[in-house]
Amino acid sequence: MIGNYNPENTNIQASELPPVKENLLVQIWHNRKARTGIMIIGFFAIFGIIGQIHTPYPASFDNFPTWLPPSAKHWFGTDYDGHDVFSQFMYGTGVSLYVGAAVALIAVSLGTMAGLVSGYYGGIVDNALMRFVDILLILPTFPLLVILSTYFKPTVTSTIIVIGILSWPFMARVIRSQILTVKQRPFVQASILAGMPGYQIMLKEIFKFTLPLIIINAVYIFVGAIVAQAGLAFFGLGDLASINWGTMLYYAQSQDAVIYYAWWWIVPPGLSIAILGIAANFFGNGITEVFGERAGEV
Amino acid sequence: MSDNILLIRNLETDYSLGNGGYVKAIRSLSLDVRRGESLALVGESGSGKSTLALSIMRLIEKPNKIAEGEIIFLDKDRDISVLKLGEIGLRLFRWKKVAMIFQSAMNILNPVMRVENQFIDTFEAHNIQDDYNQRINKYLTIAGLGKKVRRLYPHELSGGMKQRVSIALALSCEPELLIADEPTTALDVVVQREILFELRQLKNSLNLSIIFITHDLSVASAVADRIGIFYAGRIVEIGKKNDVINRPAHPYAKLLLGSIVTLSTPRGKELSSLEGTPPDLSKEIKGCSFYERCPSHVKQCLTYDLQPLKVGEDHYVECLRAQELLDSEY
Amino acid sequence: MITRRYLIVRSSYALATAMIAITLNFLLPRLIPGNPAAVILFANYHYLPPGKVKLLDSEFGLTTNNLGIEYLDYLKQLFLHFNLGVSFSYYPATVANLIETHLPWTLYLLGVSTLVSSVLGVITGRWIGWRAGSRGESVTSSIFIGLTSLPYFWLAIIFILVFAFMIPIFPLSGSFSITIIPGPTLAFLGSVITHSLLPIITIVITTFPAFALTMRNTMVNQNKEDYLLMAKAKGLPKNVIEKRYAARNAILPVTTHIVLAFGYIVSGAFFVEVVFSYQGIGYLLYKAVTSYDYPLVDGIFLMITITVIIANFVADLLYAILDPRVELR
Repeated sequence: MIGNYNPENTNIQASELPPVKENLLVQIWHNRKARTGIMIIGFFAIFGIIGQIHTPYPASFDNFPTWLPPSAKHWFGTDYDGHDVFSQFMYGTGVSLYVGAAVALIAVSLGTMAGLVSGYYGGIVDNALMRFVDILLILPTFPLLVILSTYFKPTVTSTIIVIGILSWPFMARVIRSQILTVKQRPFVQASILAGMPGYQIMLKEIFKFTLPLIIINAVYIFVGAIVAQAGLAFFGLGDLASINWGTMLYYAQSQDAVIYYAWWWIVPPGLSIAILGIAANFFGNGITEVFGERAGEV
Repeated sequence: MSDNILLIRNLETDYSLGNGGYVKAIRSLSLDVRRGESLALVGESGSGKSTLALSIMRLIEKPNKIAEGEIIFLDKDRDISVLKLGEIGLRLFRWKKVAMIFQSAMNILNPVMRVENQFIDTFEAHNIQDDYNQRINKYLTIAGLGKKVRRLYPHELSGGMKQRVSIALALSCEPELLIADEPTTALDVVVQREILFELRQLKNSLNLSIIFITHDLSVASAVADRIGIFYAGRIVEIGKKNDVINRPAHPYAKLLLGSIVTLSTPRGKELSSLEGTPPDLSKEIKGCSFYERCPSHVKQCLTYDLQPLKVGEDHYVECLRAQELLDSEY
Repeated sequence: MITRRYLIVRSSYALATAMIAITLNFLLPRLIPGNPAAVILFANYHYLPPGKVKLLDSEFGLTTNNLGIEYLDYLKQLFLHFNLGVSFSYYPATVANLIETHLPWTLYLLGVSTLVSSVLGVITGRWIGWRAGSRGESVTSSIFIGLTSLPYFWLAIIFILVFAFMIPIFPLSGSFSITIIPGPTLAFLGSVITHSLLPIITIVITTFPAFALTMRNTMVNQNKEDYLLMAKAKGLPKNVIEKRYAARNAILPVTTHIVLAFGYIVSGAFFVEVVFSYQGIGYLLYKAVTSYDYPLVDGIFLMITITVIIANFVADLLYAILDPRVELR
């Protein structure tokens, strides 16, 4: 758990989850909570992509007067060095979201793979993997992130890799327990008896039952990674020349923005992280509700 | 008129479907339970037997509800209208007047409390002044358990032992009426027989009235004085054990009895089987609820007002053609 | 119940995890090509006479030996002398020394906030869980979801901005007022408490809602349990059912959550320390990271990890006491 986004807080019963069907997307969209979550995340995504193509002023242009409060010319004012904060925020949104998405991709692949293998094959493989997961879960993530980031070259990519390889254990465990229950279902037992190869059973029969969990976990990891990256940057780790929510807060803190009452510099990135967190929780709860309703169908 | 302990009149219990709709699990049901008798209610799962039990204890919780009717408990000196009881009145009524043995004993005991404490909190709730230790020992012994069980946690007990603890618990406040909801289904046959035997003994020695709920006719015939047959939220036939088993009048009861093989079933006798499914209880049912599946139905069944017909001494059937069918068959 | 087997298995887990952390701590600095520590050392101390550099080399453990021998030596130094090396940036202070002076502050922050946060979380969670479905409950739950999403360090900055600058009711930074001489006096104690209030409030606000939400969910799930139905059937008073049946069982998964979150609280405390310039381990780590003080970063990592492992172990024992069913699979 890197962020405070704890998937356990959703009321989900892994064993009750049905497989994903086509009309599921429609059903998710009809759930108010899930839709709110998707719309908030979608808004940030679009905002961030636009920020990569166009910002009111170049994000790294620093010749404006310093510490200007918000105005029509500078919506979010300017910072200690005379950057336009809105332009920085717009550009930084894209970078932060990219970090989140890339980490989610790495962690979800690792977590799903580990969970599938562990849950399906059981035995020694399962034991070894799960003990490893136990140990990773006990190790405090943030100090581990700090020490790894201290030794690796500070680039955005290295930060992504470091956060990615530390974000999968919890998910692997959830997926594994889901597979253990699915494995007991008659149709899987039938496939095993029929001599279908293990990888085929996993891909054809079991994988679809883990999709809901994968979706939920992906969103939590996505937001968790944005928080983790911001945290690292705040500690002065990672690529401090990159503009993102984390480095904005880092400079706001190290350049004593509070002394200048420069709330316009502090509020946008922090509040955005909080709103994304709320969106993830909405989404997770919504998905849980949708699957809760559908659980009876299978 | 024999001495009754519980009167149920026109009871309707509804289960919420979550979309504003309701399923009528109990449909305008009336029933008298006699003091000192053992009444078995038999029916398929989903017929509403357990709902009736929970309704008597008023354990039906929102969004489900008891929509209509009356439940009267005839105490020695006064009548208690169960559905009108306030919070404290209800609390004191439960377990002291009517106690219950639940269907699954596996999870019925609080896993983090020692067995004895689950007796003591009940005694405290009902202001029982006796020596707790003696009382716990007494009822554990009655239920066939040793004193050592007291200090154990539920996970240290076997399924059969848990069921015995729950029997001891049910008896420990000396209720007048005991509802046993499938008390033995989760247990293996040997334990099942022992427990049934003990319950029957207890009934006689403690002067209890028992409502036995089961889907198993052989269990019912082993323990009951009277048998009631449950179908789609109503009791469709009720009478003395031997009458119902030997001369069932309702077509459903006949089919139910006919589908059981016993040692005395003649070889070669064709087993009857039930076709179709019970009616959808979320919709209004006109006339007899068994109409669709009934081999002997006639047009009049659809307008039948469900007045039970007397077909013998203490033997009532909810079927228009009951007498006619009885006469033709026996 | 704590059986001997439980004790043995749990403690061997803890030991194995600790050994992995220690080994990682040993290997990481040595796996990096062109030891960055040496580079930094050279940059800072290049004016030192050659003899002194050699001495420093051995003090920092930078001598190139066989890896196996180095490992054994490292373990010996660690376990026998609690020697974690010498700090670059605070030279000649040892890492162990620095940790020793900063640790009490962090333990104080962590201890108080974990305690307050878990008690508050369990109490509020129990309250809203028992009233699930009501309007008050759904509003409270939504607010809690919002609170769990606030990043620690951001909330800390906002608090400083609001409560130390705009409405100056709390001290701005530090662990105690610099005008007071540390000692067993009431003035010092008062200063320590006022300085720690805002950091503690920050940590508590961002952590307790998660505990409360977990407690809420487990309380709600209790309603599905047969023993709760039984408790009602037995005619027990509502408060007894809530306390001895629902809450008593609901708290079990919550303890696990609190334990899992402990590592998270540790890192939260670090951020808060940095923002408030609170003289704890987190602040020290921040200083170490920003001045490339590798031995100090390593030492702190090791110390934190072992603290968290011990906390986990203690919590495991606590759990076994709380839940009579635990006998270890």
